[in-house]
Amino acid sequence: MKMALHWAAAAWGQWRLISAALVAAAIIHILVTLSSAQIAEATAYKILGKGLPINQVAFGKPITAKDQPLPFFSPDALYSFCRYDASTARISVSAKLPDVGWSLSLHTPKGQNFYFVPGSGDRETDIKLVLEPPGNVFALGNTEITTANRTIPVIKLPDVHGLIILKAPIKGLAYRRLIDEKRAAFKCQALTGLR
Amino acid sequence: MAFMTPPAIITPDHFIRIKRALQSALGLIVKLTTFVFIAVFGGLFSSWYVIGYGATFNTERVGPWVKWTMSGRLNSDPYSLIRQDQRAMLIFSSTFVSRYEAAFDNSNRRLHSACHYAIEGPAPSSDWWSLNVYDAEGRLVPNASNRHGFNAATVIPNTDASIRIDLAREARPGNWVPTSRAGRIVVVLELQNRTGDAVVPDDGEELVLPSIRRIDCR
Repeated sequence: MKMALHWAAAAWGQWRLISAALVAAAIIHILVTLSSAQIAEATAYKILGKGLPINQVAFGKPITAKDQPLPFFSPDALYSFCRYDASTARISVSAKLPDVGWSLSLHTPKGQNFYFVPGSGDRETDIKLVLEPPGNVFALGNTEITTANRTIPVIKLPDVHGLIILKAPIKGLAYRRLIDEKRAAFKCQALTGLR
Repeated sequence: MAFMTPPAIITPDHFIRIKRALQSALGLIVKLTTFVFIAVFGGLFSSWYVIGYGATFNTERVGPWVKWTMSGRLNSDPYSLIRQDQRAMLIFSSTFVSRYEAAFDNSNRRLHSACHYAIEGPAPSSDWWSLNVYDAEGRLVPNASNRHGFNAATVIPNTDASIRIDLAREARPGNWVPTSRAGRIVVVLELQNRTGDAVVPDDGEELVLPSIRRIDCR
């Protein structure tokens, strides 16, 4: 009886130790994960943005094994980039998406994609956007600007810096001319005097 | 004449006390080591594992395909954010584009360039899809034909509209992606809809993606 009690006490001590260690492991897990997420360095943005002009469109070269700007970049598409800086002005963006598979996407420096327009197979998607920098207390979320012939959506940016990517899928050599034409219609520029 | 102090006599009782003290110290060291090992190793390993392989709350699995359901979003979970940053990936939000990765075949064996695989099944039902092959670090596999994958426009479907894509070192008839000597490989399948919503199967209909079958290895 005495032995059994002694064994039970020892086992209880071990379980207390293991439970405490598991709680400590959970705390370490949370701390490590959250701190790593906080210090995430926007690696992709830094690599890609290094050679890109600000508030101008840059046409990327075809992706090959020898010339791949980022890991896991899809090689069956041609990319055009605009590295925007909305710290001093709003940004005007326009693009045409002629077919399905095309897309225009907006990314924060941490790579988060907060806006996306896909191409439609039915008709050409004509995009015009105005990017509003964060911190404007008078702008409540996404709004619109109405001009004489159309309404332009205003996108509230989560960060003053970021990337706009126009993706043009390569469907075959015969499409190359169409791709070049539509890529040329991609514009991105600072709107002076509107802030 | 000075008195001499008698020599200390170590009794068996002293031995027992010293032994108990040593046992107690040793026990404490063992407990402390166990505690630190479980806490540090468990905490770091579990964090590393979830960042690398995902968990049920942030991944969706369809056969060998894994979709990180929160990746690329503004509100992505910290694991997806760290993974994306560590791999220097710039991907679309999972809200808009479904991105599935496969590093294993249907029998849960790691994909390797030394083996020949057949990716076969119904063509993805999305408006646009593309399938590309990378090495484990996300680099394209160099090959003479400069071919790294197929998409909805470039794939040659079977007569019944299903697809078969072969991954192999040596040339294969049909839709062949050369894997050269890449070592471990990863296949990425991206599905995009014209609505801008990531693919969601209809009510009661389960999403079916092509299977990855190992044919042989060299």
